Amino acid sequence: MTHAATMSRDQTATVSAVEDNLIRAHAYAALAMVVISALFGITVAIKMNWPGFLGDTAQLTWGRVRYAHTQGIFFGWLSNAFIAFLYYGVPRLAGRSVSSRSLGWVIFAVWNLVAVVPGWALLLAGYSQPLEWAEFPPIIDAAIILGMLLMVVQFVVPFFRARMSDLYVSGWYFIGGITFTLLAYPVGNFMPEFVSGAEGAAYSGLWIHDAVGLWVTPMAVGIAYYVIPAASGRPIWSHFLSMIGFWLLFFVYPLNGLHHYIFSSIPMDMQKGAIVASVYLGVAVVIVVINLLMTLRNLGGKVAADPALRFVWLGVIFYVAVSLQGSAQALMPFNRFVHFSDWVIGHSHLALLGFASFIAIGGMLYAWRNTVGARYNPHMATWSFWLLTFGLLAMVLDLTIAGMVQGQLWQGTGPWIDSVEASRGYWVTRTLTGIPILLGFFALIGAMTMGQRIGQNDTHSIPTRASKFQDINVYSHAGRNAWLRGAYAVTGIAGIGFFALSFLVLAVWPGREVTATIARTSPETLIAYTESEARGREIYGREGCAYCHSQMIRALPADEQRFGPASEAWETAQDTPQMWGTRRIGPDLSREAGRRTADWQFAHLWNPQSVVPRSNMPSFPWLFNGSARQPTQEGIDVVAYLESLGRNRILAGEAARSGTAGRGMPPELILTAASPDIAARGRDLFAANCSGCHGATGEGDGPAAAALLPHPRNLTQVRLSDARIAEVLWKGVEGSAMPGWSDMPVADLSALAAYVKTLPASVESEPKTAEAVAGAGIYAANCALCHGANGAGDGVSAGVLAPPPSNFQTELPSMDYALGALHNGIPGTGMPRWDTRLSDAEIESVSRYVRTFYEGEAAQ
Amino acid sequence: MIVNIIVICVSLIVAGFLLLRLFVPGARDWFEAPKYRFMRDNAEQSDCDDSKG
Repeated sequence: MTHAATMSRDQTATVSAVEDNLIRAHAYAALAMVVISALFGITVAIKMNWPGFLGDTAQLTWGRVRYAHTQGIFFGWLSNAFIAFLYYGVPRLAGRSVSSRSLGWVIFAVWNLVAVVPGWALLLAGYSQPLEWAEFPPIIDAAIILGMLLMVVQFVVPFFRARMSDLYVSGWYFIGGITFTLLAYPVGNFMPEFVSGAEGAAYSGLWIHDAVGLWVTPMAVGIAYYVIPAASGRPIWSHFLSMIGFWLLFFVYPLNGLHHYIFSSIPMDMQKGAIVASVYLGVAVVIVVINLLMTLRNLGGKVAADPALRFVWLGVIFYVAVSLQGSAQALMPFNRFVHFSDWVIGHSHLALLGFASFIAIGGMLYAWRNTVGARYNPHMATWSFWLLTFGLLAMVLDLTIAGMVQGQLWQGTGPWIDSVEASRGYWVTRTLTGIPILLGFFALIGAMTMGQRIGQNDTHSIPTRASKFQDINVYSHAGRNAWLRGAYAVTGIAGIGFFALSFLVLAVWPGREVTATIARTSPETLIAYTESEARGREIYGREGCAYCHSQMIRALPADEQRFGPASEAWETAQDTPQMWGTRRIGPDLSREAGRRTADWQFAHLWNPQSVVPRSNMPSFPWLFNGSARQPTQEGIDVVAYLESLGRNRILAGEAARSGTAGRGMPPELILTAASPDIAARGRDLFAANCSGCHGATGEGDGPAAAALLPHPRNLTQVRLSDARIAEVLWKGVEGSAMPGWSDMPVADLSALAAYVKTLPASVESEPKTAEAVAGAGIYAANCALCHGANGAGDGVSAGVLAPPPSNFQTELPSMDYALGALHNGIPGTGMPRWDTRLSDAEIESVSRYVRTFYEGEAAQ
Repeated sequence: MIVNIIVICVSLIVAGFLLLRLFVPGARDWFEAPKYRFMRDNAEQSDCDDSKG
């Protein structure tokens, strides 16, 4: 007699009744939370193109909502769906009820009311961990660990009373998933708070993969192994293969973790280990999927007719697709192109929305239609299937192509913002794909709430009689090989060993190697974060900045050319938790120190589009008191932190200050707009790149102008020689917010320069008449110290001034501009106001005199 | 080093399972037993539910 059979029929009925309420509770929670999480996701997607969507409020900023989206999908949606199925499957697999109904309600309350809902509130309020898949703050982590611990009691303990050698593979997956996640969760969520930099990244990488590999995958695969035979009425093709797949999965999955940090400063030996494990994982998944699909051979009719089975079947297809994709992504030749791009986001959605969610939905529907009293509408379930399938495939395809485009653009040296610009269309499409996905989930809610109520006779749509399996004598040799019964215990211990091994070789060991490397390579003294910088770092993490800006320059030519020498382990040795990041929407910030002026940073945080018109970065007005010139202490802290990034590496002499300022002489630019197309191109480039500061018409009145000191130059009032235009565009202006644009293609630079040259249309040089040079004496007495005797900007004080004094041989101010500068000075430069020392007549005289220096092209 | 550990362990796991199945009498049935028990329990549960109706 089997265990289930030993239960009396009354007992069985009671068990079912007990679980039904908990199945309902967790299923309803899952459905509510998937809608909320999907809305978070759609909000995030919209903000990719329209960062101001829903207003510039702190609680709904991109970073925080993104945290809420992924944590909601993981803990709110998938975990509740899995738990709902556990209440259905565990009693049937273990032959016993779960431990306690009361405990079930405690788990429900802890998981949803103590962990997920308060976790969301805390994330949106700004309390979080900037760690992938571990964003809930530590207090919520404690609640989740408590929930997992209670789940061990609820779902694992019943199996202990069963004969383990009889245990069906689904039971193994459920036991393994719950127990190993309980072990992995604290390590992945708490250790990075205590272990810094590269060592912390090793732990984070471990958890990023364990979250999927030790919780989501075992639960989903366990459900697939349950639903496919139960719904089809055909036993699994090979239980032997299923066990090989199970143990391979639990061995290699945790070893994959570091493949998120290929080409990083984590020891290469460990990176290679993760790559090999990733390939083996693909093999293990192929074994699992072959086994599942062979079970369904020639059963296409059943799959097509049964929504639950169809969801699980397609989930299995997604499983093999996403796993092979993951194995490929880990390979170095492939990883170098797709990592950090939307390709990986597509991969994540294929894993969690495709593989895991489809199987979770199939499992829930299967349990639901066997739950007496529940409402089930197969028609709506079919609608849900097609809507979700269409939405998911469109989204993954779109993100995959976007990732390839981004990866290709990042191989070059063009402006980073070009990759953002190129992605916009894909991001719009991706947002639109959220609509069928959301509708699909609404249809699922309809399928589980609006159909006919399940009666006592409606359960188990495949009435496979027990007698069909009664005569299979599976224990004919059991007496002779009694030790076989202990084999699972041996392999169970081995499983714990695998788990320990993963931490040893992918976290502890790399940690020791990293420590040794840091000791060997680090400068003797490092500048530690100031209190302000440390606070800024926390705010940077709170707002999700690390989810768009990596802090890890990979040891790849494309990365090094763009951002500087590859990051070394010691650079982030004081970063706890590390914020290397796994995604780049904006550029890497490892070497932000000295790249921009503080006023540019403030203007950028206040309104990113004011200084980078094409940017999709959100504004952070809550870091300011009403304007970019009035940052709060938090705003000052963030900028202080940004200006500290890479400081130690630069001071060590191993990296130059990064930036887009070109080295050496600027290229030869053709400043004549030879065709209307070139003129139009120059105008477009100016609008896209310069108008934020210089204004739409070049009058220096762009939206960022007021925040910048010195204010952006009014380009309609100063004529620059061709050489000077080329130099400024190539190198930027030291001491001002004007960056170099050396990453812009030369043809574009020429078009831009040609446009800039047309702006001062009415500025003409001053003939050297006797009247015009009358101010020479005043100039020599007051101005030559900085501007030089001949107006070449090479006075004795010029070398210490940034921005440097104007070279009037290459810069011709209009009379009005010169008068204004002399009367009012130029704030943010060494140019003082002279109206307190010179009379109006003297100022006019000097103004005319400086305009006689201009030589135009002859100055070259 | 780590790569070697992984390759050796994976090989041992797979080889162990294969050797067990091929050379231990009754191992094949033993390995496959749970899936039949699962189907039988599932069917019995179905019978049980049917009888309730």
